[in-house]
Amino acid sequence: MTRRWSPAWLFTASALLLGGSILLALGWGSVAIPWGAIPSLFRQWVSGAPLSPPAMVLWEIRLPRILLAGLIGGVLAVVGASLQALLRNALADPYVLGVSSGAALGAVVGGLISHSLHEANLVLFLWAFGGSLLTLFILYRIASVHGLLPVQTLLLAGVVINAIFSALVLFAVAMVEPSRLFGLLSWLMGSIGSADYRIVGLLFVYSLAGLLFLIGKAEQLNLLTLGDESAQSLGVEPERLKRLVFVVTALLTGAVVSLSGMIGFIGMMVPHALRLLVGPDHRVLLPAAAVVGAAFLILADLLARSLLAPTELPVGVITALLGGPFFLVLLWQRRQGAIVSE
Amino acid sequence: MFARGLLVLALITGSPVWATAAPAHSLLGPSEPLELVDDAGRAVVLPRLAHRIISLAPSVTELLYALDAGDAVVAVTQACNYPPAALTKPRLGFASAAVEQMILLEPDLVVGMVGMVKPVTIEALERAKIPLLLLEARTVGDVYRHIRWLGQATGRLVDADRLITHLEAQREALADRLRGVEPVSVLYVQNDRPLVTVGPSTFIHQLIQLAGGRNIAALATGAYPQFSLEAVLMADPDVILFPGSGAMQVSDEQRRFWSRWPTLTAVRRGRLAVVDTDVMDRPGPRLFEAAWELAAVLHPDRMVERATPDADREGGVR
Repeated sequence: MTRRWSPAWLFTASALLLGGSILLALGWGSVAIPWGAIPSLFRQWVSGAPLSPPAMVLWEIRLPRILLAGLIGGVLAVVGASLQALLRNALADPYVLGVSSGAALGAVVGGLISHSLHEANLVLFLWAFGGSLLTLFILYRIASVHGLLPVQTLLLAGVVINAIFSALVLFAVAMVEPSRLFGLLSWLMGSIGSADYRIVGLLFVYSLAGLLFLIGKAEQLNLLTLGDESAQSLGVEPERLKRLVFVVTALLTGAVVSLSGMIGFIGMMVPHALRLLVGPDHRVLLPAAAVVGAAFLILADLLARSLLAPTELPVGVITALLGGPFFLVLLWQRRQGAIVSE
Repeated sequence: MFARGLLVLALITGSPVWATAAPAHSLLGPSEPLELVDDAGRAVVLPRLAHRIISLAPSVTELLYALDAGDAVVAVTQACNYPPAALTKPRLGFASAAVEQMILLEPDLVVGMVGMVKPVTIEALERAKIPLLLLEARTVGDVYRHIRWLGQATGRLVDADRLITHLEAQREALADRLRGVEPVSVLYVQNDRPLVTVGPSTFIHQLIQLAGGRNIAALATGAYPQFSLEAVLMADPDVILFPGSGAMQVSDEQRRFWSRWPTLTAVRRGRLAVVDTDVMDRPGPRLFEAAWELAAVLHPDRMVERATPDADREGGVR
């Protein structure tokens, strides 16, 4: 077994990773901006003078996009880690369980009804939240036996729900006029498009609240991993805790999907890798997942926007190409033991 | 340039030379079978003239009507809305239902666009021994070739020649109008979230060039690339175009979105405009009308008179 990192060392390292990712992502993109020019462009920005095109690219397009990617990545990783604790399975992830596709379907329906798939807005968010909550509700009802959640049923139900909701989004794709096709498909592929500071600011406050709530429940999540009965004997109400965490993760997933569509596997990869480094204590794991998830999606988005520049790839393609094989490796490593239980 | 040379050659020799894929057959009489290799590289054999044609694309429908072969059209797609007479034709449904519908109509020719006809449909038609002609239009020359093919298939070679001559006249009139003009740079916003534009392999790209524009995504990968906003800012387009149909107004949402980048020349000068996709995205007989409309947006000073050189023509083309 590898030696575990101390929390202090872990947070220093992940903060450095996040800072480095932001710097790397700032200086790299479809338009080359030398790192040396960044300080003077920064002075131009804070001086309030009219911005030159490079300054505009850097501060009005690239930086908000980096921040948005970071927030989305952090939220997805934390949501993944929380669901894993709840379901006692390291393979749980909002994408795998169909929660993301529920949110995407909600957003598509909301967008078609309100005739606005173009802008980030409250209608899309509410529909996406409704979609992810509905998914979690269905999952819970189908998979719960006598108030417990056997993990096998839950994962299978998630896979099937995922298939149904993706099919419904594809149905919408087949029915709409071609001019709206790209907007719809982007929900399925997941991409960090344009961002502005207003959205970034709102999402920051919102996801910070969700994150703090989940970190506040970290100790109870730790106890829950011992099993419902043990947790109950230690003073946790498992069903109440599950419901609360489900609603909060649905709120977070809805917000993130309404902004970026379905970005997969971050919620599975990041917590898993971190668990190997720091162990399963959620008081450390959840905040670390937020920081490392942020860095991960910033780097994935950097690849998405610079590999074929000026053509951009949907970032969901990058994360799925990394995450799919990762998932398979996990399955392979566990193929002799029980896959779905601890 | 190439196509013009061909036209001159055709006028001199009196023989149509457009059907470059099958020049030997272009002189054959209407009773001879037509053989050609279509744009998908498939051998197409037509034992006799086509009288029952299914069109699988709006541009094909328009071309057939422009050749005065509208009577031979037995079914069109949901999107075929021009000329108005096409609206009276039976319309095909979606996917597999459409294949059954097609076979029941007993067509002797089906014409579609490369990439728009699903492989299962192609197979089903081949099994039913129904000739299928697939077209791909990236340039004006391609459209002329399609006109020739459809003219041959329907026995309307004279109409085909006349249509091409007419289009060449329009091309020349437009080129005259735009002679020596400085091309303006154009961003064509196929979709705004995410930003998707048109790559160099699309017909719209070609049309932008014909209209005295320069597509800023000329170097992008793919036909409809998701495009970097950073690259847009650096390329600084003079004009931003949005596809639309019906109300030709730039929406408030789009205005708000783009006004966030006030340094863009197009935004500073208020040069955001909507163009009609029903015309822009169709490599058919109205292609120079579309180019003319577009040129009026890109070079309003040159194009003060809006009348196209169409006034002297009656029949299929407006």
